Amino acid sequence: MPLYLIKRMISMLYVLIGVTIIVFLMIHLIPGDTAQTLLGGEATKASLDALRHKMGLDQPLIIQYFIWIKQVITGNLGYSYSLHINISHLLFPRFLNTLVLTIASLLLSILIGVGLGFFSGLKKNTVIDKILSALSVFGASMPVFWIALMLMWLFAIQLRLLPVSGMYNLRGNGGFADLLMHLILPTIATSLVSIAVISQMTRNVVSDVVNKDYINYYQSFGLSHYQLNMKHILRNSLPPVINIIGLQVGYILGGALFSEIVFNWPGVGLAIYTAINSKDYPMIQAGVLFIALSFVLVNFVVDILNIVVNPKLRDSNK
Amino acid sequence: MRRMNNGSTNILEIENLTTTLRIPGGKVSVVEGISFNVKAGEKLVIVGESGSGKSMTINSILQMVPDSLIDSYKGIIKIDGENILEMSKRKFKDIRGKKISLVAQNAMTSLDPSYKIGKQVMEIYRHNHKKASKEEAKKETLILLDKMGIKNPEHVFHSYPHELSGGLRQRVVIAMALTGNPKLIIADEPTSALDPTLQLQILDLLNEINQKFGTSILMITHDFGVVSYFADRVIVMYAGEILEMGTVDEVINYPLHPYTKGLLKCIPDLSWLDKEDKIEKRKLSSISGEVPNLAKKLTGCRFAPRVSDIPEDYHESSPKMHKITDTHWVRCTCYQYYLKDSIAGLEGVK
Amino acid sequence: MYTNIRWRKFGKYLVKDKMASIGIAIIMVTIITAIFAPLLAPYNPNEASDTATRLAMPFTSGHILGTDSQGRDILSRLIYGSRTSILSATIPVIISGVISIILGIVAGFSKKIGGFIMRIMDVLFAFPSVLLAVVIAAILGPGLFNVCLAMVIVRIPYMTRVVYTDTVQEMQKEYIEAASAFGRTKFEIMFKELLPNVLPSLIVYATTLMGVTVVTIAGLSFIGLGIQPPTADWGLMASNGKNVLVQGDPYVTLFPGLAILILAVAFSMLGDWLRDLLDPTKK
Repeated sequence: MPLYLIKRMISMLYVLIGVTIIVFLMIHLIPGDTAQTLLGGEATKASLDALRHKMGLDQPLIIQYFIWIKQVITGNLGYSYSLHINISHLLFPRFLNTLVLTIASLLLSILIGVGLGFFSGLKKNTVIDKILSALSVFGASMPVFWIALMLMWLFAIQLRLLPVSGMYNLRGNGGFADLLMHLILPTIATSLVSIAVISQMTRNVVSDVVNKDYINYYQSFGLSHYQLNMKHILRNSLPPVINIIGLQVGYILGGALFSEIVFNWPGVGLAIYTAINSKDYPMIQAGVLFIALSFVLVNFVVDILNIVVNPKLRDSNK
Repeated sequence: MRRMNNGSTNILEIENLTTTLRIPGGKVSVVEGISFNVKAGEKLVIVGESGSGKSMTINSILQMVPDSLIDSYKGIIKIDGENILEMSKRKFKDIRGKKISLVAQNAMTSLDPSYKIGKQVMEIYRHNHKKASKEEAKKETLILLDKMGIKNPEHVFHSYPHELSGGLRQRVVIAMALTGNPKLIIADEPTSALDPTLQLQILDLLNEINQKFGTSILMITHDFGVVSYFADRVIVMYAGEILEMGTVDEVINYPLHPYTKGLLKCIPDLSWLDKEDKIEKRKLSSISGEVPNLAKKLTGCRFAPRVSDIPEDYHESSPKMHKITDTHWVRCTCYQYYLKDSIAGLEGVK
Repeated sequence: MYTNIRWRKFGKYLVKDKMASIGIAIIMVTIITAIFAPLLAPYNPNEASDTATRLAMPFTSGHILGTDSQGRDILSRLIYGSRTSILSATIPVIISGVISIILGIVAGFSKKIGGFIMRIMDVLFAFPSVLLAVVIAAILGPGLFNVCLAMVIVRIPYMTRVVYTDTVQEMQKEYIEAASAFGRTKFEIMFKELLPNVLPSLIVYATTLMGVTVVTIAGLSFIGLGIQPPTADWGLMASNGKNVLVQGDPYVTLFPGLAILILAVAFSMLGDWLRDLLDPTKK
């Protein structure tokens, strides 16, 4: 295994520990007593103590942390206050639904964001570039929940082109086409900000690369525009663009929270939202852990990709 | 075909070329009415300060002035007998690389950092030889790298640009320029980014290419040291015009124009490299004044403001090129001021 | 001398850059509206007027932007809502800016402490910022103060990183070496030499963040974690419109959302302009 991979894994491990500590502490910072919340107001002291002992709540914090970590690793995320079920059973399928939405949004953001940004960067300072730049200023500042509501109103309620909410039609057969129809609006709402940001930044990167000496030099040999654009300009824009996309994954995960709420998409975000309203802290904790862990993983992949596409970085990390 | 076999065929003929750029608030002619030829097998060097129009001259020949800047090219640029200014863009693309190619100025930044050397040279090779297979291209690339005096071509082939030294990269850049067996190489200050020892090696390599393959070389430089080491013929440019043109012997040993004389005083002496005592360098001098702002309309001799000791009536109101010998030309009669004692009797200048 | 020239440039740049002038104009108008809300608002924002119908369309019965589901005038609520928006956009960013500049400079100045501080920041970066804000706000409980506190915490890692990166770069320059050679104390180097040089890019970044913060805080209100009803708040108003939207009335949501968007864009235009002015290298 290359050294940079090991280095990066060590730093990821350490971020993971930090993340779990923060998520663990979260529930201990909340005012109120867990056992009391679980058993209700009328519980006797004896039954409270028994539960505390059973849950390990009478142990020192550090021991409790390790107990919790052990549970998390074995897939036990605790017990929901409000739904009275094992959280893992609820959250794993929910996580897959969130994955569907975020991956669709990420793909859309990359496709359109990089595409428009690349085009703008090649045509810097033309009328079309200026129009796209102005649009992207608005796109980047768009409140996700609001644009989600507006899209819903226009396409689902007024025009009746697309379903209002949910993931499948209740009376439908639950097929892939049905899923796709339900996916369109949440995906657009989630990815709009990222499309704008990715295209803005890609434009700047590409217009920088276009002015590099080597592009000029390749041009002197009469290489076709297609060959220059696709082989040299795109390739050299890739490392910074991958970084930009990596950062956007965080925004997409955040944006998905709002889209899930507005469109009633049964994902982790919606679970967190419901849990907030019913003060179901273990559920919030588990939901946050899920999203944070996937974000850490994505950042790891982005870093590795970056080293792979960037020969200079590869050498300095050897 | 008869002309091709003739030793004095012109590979490049430039007649009355004027290149005009668009700038905010107007137009500016950065190259104005220049004419010169490059013969087969010849090494011609254009020398001038920055802003003299030498870079714009080669950018005009290669049609590489950005579209956003160019206003017009006027005159004739013939490459191997064909006027490229009347040629379709498509056809000119075929000429680039095959008949004429560029050796980029800064080898440190002129190679794509994301691809290995072999891949880059092969790409240009296959662009110039559309029918070549991958294996063929690889074989030819390795041969070419070897010819460039690269000791371990296989290793360089599999290296990224950042892994190579400046000298090696410059050799790779020259190899790329040679992939299409061009008749003319245009070298844009190919040594200015290198240290002196490497400068000489690269000039020697270009010399060797010139001799072995008979490739003509048009080089631009600001350095008269390079001229004296390398050139057959020299053109001195200033403010978009040719001031003096001649064989290297004529221009260096018998410079006529006061500007050429001034530039010659500024030569960093390369001969110190051969000496044991490397500390001894010639003191550099400089020419007073600045290159004129081309955006303003210039009349008369463009160099007049910088030679205040020459009386005004020595300058022509519209300076022409004056023929001194078959090969030696100089612009404006002001050159006669310094010769007034020796030629006063012959020509009877005022 | 240096700063003088910069300030003189301000006026010149402002006239030249139309986008920036529009941005500043929008922000000024929002501030003035917030201050003079009671004078400007035609109705009481929190009570339905006697004559009002519920969910009136815009431009009907004296309600320019219509009324919401409780018959309250939307325009008046927008005018009052500018107060929480402009406050919650600026104050948390300024506070976390002050904290970040200390953390960032110290981290950039001393490798030991820097390693520790930046490791903590790395952990905070592992949370998408919206999610972190949601979690903190959920722990602290709803309310304007708690939401602002959550925003302060969320912005610190980002701003600290900007200051840290700049400080590390500045540390390699000669003037820092010269300053320590002249016997300046660590404190003097950090806050007299480094601070003025790392401040411009932080100001640029902070301005851009204010726009992002307007949107994020509106999002928190939408979830129910931010400002609580019946206070007039743009995010809350948009959230209230959610139910009537399904019935086909988009206006209750449309106008507050537009207000959020326009204010955010104004901050982003101001940020772009400041970047050109203070930090031309990072265009």
